[in-house]
Amino acid sequence: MTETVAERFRKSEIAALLVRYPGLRLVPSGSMALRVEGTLRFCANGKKTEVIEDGFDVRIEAPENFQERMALAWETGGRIPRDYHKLRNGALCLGSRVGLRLQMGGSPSLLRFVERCVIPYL
Amino acid sequence: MLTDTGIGRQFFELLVESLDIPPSLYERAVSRHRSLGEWLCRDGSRLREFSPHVSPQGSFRLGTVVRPLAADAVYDLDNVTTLMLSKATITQKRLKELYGLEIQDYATAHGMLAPPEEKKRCWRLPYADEVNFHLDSLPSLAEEESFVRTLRMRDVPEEWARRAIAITDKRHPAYAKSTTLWLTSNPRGFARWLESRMGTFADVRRRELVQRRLYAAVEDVPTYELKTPLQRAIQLLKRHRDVMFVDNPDVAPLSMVLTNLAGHAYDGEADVYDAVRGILARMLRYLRAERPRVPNPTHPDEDYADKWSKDPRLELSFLQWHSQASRDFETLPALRDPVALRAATKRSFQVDLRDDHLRSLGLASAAPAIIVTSPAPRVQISSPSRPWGSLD
Repeated sequence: MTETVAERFRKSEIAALLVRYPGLRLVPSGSMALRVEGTLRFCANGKKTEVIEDGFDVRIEAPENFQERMALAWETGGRIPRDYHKLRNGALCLGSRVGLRLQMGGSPSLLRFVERCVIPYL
Repeated sequence: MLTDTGIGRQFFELLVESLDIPPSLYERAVSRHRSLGEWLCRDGSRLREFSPHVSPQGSFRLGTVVRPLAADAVYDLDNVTTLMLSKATITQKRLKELYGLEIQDYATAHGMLAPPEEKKRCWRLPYADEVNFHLDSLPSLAEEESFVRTLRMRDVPEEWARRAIAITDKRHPAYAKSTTLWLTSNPRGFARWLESRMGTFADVRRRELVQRRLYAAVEDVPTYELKTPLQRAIQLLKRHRDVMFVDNPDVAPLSMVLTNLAGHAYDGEADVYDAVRGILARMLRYLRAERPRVPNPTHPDEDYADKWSKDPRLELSFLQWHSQASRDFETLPALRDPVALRAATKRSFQVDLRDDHLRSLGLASAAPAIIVTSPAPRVQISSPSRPWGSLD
């Protein structure tokens, strides 16, 4: 059965993303892509690393078929050098296709994408 | 000293005040509807024998107009002209043409510079004076008794069902044919329904205006004077929508979709602060999963979201707007940093908060504010993916 627009939107967990990261805002793309922009403030720590608190200006876009195609993220504040792990369109090169899909675990959640793929890169 | 909720209430009040249009604009709109009505009923009118009745529609009728974002923007006025004539005696095409002749004569007689423009369902009259209006005037026939009975059988109260109309549409397959299968609508019934959703606040306000001798009787008070919490909440929601979709107006949620769902979701809250937040918390419950997605409560087959099935971007836009609006109406009134509140108000509503606004909220613009920011969310990174990749 085809997924409805409302189901897809719910599974994207955008509402939870906006609550958890209040610096991000939904920006209509005019298409079926979902786009959020703004300041992504976070506090991250790895297994052995110290806690890092930081914030980056970003734009994130999830295509309509997010489960099959990966979302993209851009750092828009100019902090990350142009030649540092970026795709030809300027989006951040977040990882290999397989690696990113493993991180996403088949989920179309933008919240998961931000926390599993974007923040670790930043 | 204002409490947090008190600040929120006052913030929304001053916000909606700054979005409101002056009463003189409403009065001007009323005079234009009246002028057209008088024209259609004059001696020599082609439609006079059919007792034309002109009634305002849309946000000017409902009292939910918001100031446009651009200073030179054009205000949309809508009205419906209803004739007492049977569908069996005229085609849609003939009615539209007859009405068009009257509208063209009206434009000439009133020295209008641009000619009226025929649209799919209505005629558009462009006005160009110190306020830019265009008036979309919809010709219609009063619906027949059998149709009113059908609505009554579907639990639409008599008072609303009687206001149903048959309308013309150039895209209708039987546009030029003699048939009783016309499109139907009920904008006047919807306006009555929305008034019924305004609760006791409308009656209290009407009595207050009569006591102040601004109107002779409660029935003379126009809806735009009521300024009920429901109307104010709808104005705020529409403005938020306008700003959010300023770069993509073609996919912006329609005002009538927002108004319809807000009317359902409003639960009698006494002020705009509680009303708008309550409406946002409940409005998705009234979005139907099947067509009609957003039915007119006074004409259950009329779907205000009928375009969603052909263009799924429209539904996605509505859901996106609802998510962002829910966040903004929750977080803005809680901001205590004047700089942050100013910036957020500008971003979400395109409203410039003045120093006196901030002072009335107890937030002096020059005074250092004690700001408590919530900690950034903590993310545990266990096995990060390494930068690598191609475009797709």
